[in-house]
Amino acid sequence: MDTPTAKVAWNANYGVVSSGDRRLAFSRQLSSNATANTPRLARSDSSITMPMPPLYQGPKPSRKLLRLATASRPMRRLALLLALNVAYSATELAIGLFTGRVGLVSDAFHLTFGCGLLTFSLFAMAASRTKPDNMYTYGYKRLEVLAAFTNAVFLLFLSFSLAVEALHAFMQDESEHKHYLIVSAVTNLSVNLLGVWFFRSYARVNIVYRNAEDMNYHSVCLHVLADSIRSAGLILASWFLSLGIENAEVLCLGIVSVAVFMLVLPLFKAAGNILLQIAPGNVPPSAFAKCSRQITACEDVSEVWQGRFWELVPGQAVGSLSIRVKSGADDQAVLEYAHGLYQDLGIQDLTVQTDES
Amino acid sequence: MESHHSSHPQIAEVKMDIASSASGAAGNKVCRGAACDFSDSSNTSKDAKERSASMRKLIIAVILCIIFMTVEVVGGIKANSLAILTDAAHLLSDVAAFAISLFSLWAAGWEATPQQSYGFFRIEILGALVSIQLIWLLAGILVYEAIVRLINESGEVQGSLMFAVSAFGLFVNIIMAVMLGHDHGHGHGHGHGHGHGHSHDHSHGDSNDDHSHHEEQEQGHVHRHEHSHGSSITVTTVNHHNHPSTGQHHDVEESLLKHEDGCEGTQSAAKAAKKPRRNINVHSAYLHVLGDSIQSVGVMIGGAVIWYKPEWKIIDLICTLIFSVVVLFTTIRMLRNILEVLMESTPREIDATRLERGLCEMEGVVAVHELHIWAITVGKVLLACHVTIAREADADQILDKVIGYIKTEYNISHVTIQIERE
Repeated sequence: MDTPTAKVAWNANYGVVSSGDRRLAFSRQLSSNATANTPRLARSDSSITMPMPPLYQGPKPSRKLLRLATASRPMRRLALLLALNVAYSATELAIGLFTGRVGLVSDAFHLTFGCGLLTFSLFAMAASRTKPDNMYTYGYKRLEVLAAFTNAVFLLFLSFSLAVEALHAFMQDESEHKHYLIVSAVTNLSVNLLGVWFFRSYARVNIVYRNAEDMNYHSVCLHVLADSIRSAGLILASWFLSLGIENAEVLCLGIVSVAVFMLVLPLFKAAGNILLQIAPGNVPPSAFAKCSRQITACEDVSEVWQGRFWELVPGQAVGSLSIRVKSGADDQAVLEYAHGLYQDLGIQDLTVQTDES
Repeated sequence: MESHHSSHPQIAEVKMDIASSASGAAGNKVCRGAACDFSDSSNTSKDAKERSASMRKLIIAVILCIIFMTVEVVGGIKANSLAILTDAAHLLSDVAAFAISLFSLWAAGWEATPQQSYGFFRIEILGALVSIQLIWLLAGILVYEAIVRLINESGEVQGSLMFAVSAFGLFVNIIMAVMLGHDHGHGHGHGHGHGHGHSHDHSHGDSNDDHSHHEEQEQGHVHRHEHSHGSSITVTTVNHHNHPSTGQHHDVEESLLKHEDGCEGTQSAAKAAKKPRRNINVHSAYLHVLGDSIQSVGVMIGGAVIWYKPEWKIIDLICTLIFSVVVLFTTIRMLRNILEVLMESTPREIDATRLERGLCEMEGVVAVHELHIWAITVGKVLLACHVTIAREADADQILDKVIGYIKTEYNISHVTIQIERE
């Protein structure tokens, strides 16, 4: 939307600045396109000092969705990771088929699913920069949230399947460990650790999501992290088995399964909530009640109802509101006042319906 | 009193508004309650009836599945055969899919909260998405198993056993597919397509209301009606010529999952009689079962091949691959619907350019911008836009006209219009 007319000085990245209500201020990180090298630490920034650099508007709209030439750095890193993974799983599948080793084939299948997910994340990163069109009036940014959600769902499936494997190992009680799997596990671990290093700023369980890409990067990081935990678990299990510890495989697989589950659950909930049209997370519910009270307190307004707010992507909130205005009053002034109030909270896309009673 | 003819020759629309002396509650723009027509009483009772019918179907399917699964597990342990146990695991995945659908159905009926101001209808869509991802996962697992069968050159695979087990699995799946896919052409509240485009605002105090009067007539009477809140007289929009246009209320039936032009009543009248109307969760469970039966057919063919000519094992793998691809194709349409809803895109059945042009052609309207049309779930559509009007025009009257136009033409019930003067 267009820049807000300053009733209160408002900045797109810091919320209310100067003499406004500082409690409504927030810090928003620019997308990585604008600040290439220095990570912005929110606390050391101050809204008093420098004028913000102009926001990167994104590449000019072109027909192709991929636009590899202007890929951002995380996209390039993800593409590299994806290429490594694809090459690795292809060789593993080929070797497994020719030498007839089932373990290698199953590992290759795990990796292929992972590659598919990473491809979808990469596609989401590329496609989300497309400008909104007639069919997708809100743009394509939701794809990143969808990619994050898909990643989270498959990681949950992975943890369930690891639990099933542990159960299987427990019942079959086969303690023969396959040596060739160690080599593949070590290679897998190193590739995934490289991926974790690429996305190291997202290697946490609970992250505050400031914009759409945050969720996607976080999901990619969790994916490679979960894969590396699984490989590490396999290596550990075979080491314990060689030490003679009974049921090592069951233990390690069980621990890995629980670990992956706990790792993924917050991302799953956050992405799921956004897809469920939950109210914006960075605004406390009391703020909404306060705004609605402030509007009702206007002498021209008799009633405010049907305030619905939801987040398109983390950081971009949309809302709709209905106001009943007393007849004869200036509804444009009420409109501007309401818009100003909600812009303080960070809700830019607001549609306000004013009925005259 | 004003009456006008809309573009459909058979429609006669009569609208009468008693002067709004009733306190505050004037016009048909008003929706009472926190979540308006997403959870007002008539809708919830209809939704609840349809939801409980779907849940009943799914519960029966789950019970059948569990019975068959225990039979297979017992048989597999007794015969010490991995193939039978694997098939039991597939049935377990069916149970998981049904459990997801049941949960989504149940959760979609939760009351809206201030945090979830639109209610929980999206949970259906998310549940269907997870279900479809499960289908994809299982297709991959089946391909993996076929490869393993190929690699195990030691001939552990018995073609006859494979054939028998997959035939049994096919039989079970067909029973469940019939049960889930069977649309009832009779009675109340069965087989409603989920998410009718309800175009009425429920009036709580209206004594003429007899919404409990459901009638499903297979000749395809489709009626759209709207009535205003409180003090107004009800409006009946008649779409089918042999229905008496008195103050009778009939509910809308549209098969929304499968037909692409939800606002044209006559076409939906024709289609409503033919297309099965299914809740999206029941439909995804049905897809799951259908996919399983397709794959059972593939495994049966592979088993028969291995039985007769064990050296042609590669055919088993090729068969499985082909049938997995077929299964994936059956899910594509539903996946596309789900993705479009989750991306907040304009629903396919609504032509946004025509709507915008229609709004611009109204007198007093200068421009329309920031038009957003999106769906909360497959049947419930919302609209928000900014309308710029001429300086001297009457905002309230234009608001009424715009909302009325959108509601009658496009059947979008939840509309928020911001009127701006230029």
